[in-house]
Amino acid sequence: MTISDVDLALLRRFEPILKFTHGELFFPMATGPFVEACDLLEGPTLRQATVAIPSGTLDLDRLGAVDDPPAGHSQYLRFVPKPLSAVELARWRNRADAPRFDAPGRLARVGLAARLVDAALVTSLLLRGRVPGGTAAAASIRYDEIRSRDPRMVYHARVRREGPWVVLHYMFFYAMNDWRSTFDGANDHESDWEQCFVILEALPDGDVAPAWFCAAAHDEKGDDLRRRWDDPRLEKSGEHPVVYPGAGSHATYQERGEYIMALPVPGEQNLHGPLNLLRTTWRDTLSQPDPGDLAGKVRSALSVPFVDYARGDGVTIGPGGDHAWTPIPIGDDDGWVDGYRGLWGLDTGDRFAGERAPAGPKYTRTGSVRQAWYDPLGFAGLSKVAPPSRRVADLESRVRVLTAERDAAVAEANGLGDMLPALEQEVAALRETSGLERYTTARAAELAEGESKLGGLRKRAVELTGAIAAAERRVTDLRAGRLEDPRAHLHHASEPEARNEGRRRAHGETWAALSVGLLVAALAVIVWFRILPPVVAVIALFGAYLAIEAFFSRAVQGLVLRISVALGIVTAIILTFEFLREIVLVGLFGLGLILVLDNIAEVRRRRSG
Amino acid sequence: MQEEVTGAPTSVVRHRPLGILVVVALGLGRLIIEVTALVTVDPSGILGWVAGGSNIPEFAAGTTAWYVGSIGILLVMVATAASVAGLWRYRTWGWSLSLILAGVILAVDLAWWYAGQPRYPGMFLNMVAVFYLNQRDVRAIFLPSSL
Repeated sequence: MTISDVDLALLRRFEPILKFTHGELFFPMATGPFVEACDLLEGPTLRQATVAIPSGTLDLDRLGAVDDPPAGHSQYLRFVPKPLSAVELARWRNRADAPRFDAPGRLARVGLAARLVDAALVTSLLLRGRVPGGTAAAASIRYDEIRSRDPRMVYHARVRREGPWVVLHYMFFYAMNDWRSTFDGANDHESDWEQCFVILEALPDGDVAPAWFCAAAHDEKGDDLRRRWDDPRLEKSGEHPVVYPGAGSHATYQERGEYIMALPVPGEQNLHGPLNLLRTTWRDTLSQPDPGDLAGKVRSALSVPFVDYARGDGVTIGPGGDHAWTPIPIGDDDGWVDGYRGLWGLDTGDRFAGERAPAGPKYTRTGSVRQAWYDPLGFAGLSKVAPPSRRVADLESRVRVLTAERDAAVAEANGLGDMLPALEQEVAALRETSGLERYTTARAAELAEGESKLGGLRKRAVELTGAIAAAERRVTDLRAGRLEDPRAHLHHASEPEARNEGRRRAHGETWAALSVGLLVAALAVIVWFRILPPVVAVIALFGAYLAIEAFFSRAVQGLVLRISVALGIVTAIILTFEFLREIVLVGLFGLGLILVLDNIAEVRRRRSG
Repeated sequence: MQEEVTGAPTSVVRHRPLGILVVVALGLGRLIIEVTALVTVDPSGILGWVAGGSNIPEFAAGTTAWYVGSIGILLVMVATAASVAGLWRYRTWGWSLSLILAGVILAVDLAWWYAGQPRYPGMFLNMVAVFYLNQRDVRAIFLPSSL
């Protein structure tokens, strides 16, 4: 793919700086050497797949020319033909030049519920397709061999012009996502494509002005992907945005830190109402301490404790960094981009897709074109956003539309206001007339409808007047250079977690690592040998777990106080259940007494008045 | 003359809340019951009736269970006396101890209930004590920094 010097200059001018975490094994590389080291396989399943084109004969041109596989068959590259054995893996891990990665235990950051979810996910890997152990190590060795021959740090990129916008699309290709095997993350897969965008506004004088930066990390989408160029939390070096790839996952974070991956709780939306009612009853009716956002607490309690480390304390690539970029422009003209719809690494058949390799820069795993490829502005939620220099003009245009709409509403309301009193008089006259019942009913309905419509129009006119005033204030602000909060458009942007450091860290981590397994094993032993009834065993084990957990987090007193309150709640439930009839009767008696006293007081007031 | 107490608002000291008085009275009542349970051997008569209000089960004198039960009664007595004193003097530890003690007794009461011998008056009073002591207003007196 060839691009103009102007576009290449733009790509170089705004190319991002990637700051990796110490311990990272894979860096952005060119696709060519990777493909040349791969086999291309085809088949209905992983076991039945056969090599269609062996490594050594495969290159980007051949990859772009391969036919689509038969329906139901998958087509994928295989970078690692044979994972390391257990002995080889141990030797590789203990090699002298192995980078050391130090992090507090991820399980120590979360509670029991999240650890149980984690245990379920780990167990599910036994049933799902997964990347075999030793693959990441073998991939690292193969990647190092390639890098010794081709040390370039590469981004693939393209430039798209859409109306007033110029989109600089940067794509980073890695030989392997080793998040799970190297950094205790959620998944591994061969090859990895990540991307970010710099969104520019084309100015009338031919120059451009940066407006937005957009980068995707895991579950973010739409508005949450992008940061305004003047956002103080968007780090830049000159005109180069700084990105922090997650260790192993390479997810592109826009702020340095450590991120805990959150799993959405099924039916969470339905929990908000009851939990808020519980909160207000507890806080306002019972005057108890505010428990805070209970739905949020449920969500965080079930957050899967996979930590994405985006520390930025390792290799830096980009202007001023340890390595400079080599840009490779790509586009639909490239055969391997447009023609190859298969996966770029091992297809494990994982139903949750986490352990399957991704497809190429243009396609999803299903073969459809990625939105980020055909509609990058829509992907970043920018289709609805005005370029900076057109904000005032667009808003003034909108004010004119609103004003016209308001004037029309007022005019229609005035017309109705004139007509309805006459109609009301007619209906009043008809009520006293017999033989015209159907006509009367229709006119009465017309009157009611007109009255309702008039009310709606007047309300609409007031709302439009308010909207116009707000828009005019914003026009004034925009003219004065006063913009809204640069993060106002964000809904659920990822926030880095505080680092978990404590004096009891080592013991706490050991406990966190062992707790769920010990809990399950102890439950099995107690129930097997009938030491305690199952319900009592669960309560006892859970209590012991809480006590140990509280000890490590230095919250023993708080735990004991909470247990007291919990026992109070249990007792209240039991008493309510046991004395429901008496409670209802006493309540009714009290209500009757209040009514009698209130009525007597009213009678006395009337007599004395 | 009202004693000078540190850590509590003057208005609270002058007009000790009714709830605190009730919780203190409950503690004193519990103290009387446990002392009676410790010194009374004969289960008949008024003293035996009072001693029956203890949360610790009765065991045959001289057995290991009896010694354990007696130590339990002693511990509850000491903790109750301390909690009453601490609560009366607006000490944070007195509030914590009162809440924890109410929780412990609730746990024992729940065990009695589970065993088919419910003690509903005790459950009710200790439940009310827990919720009262945990109220924001009461916390504001004993734990002003927590709000």
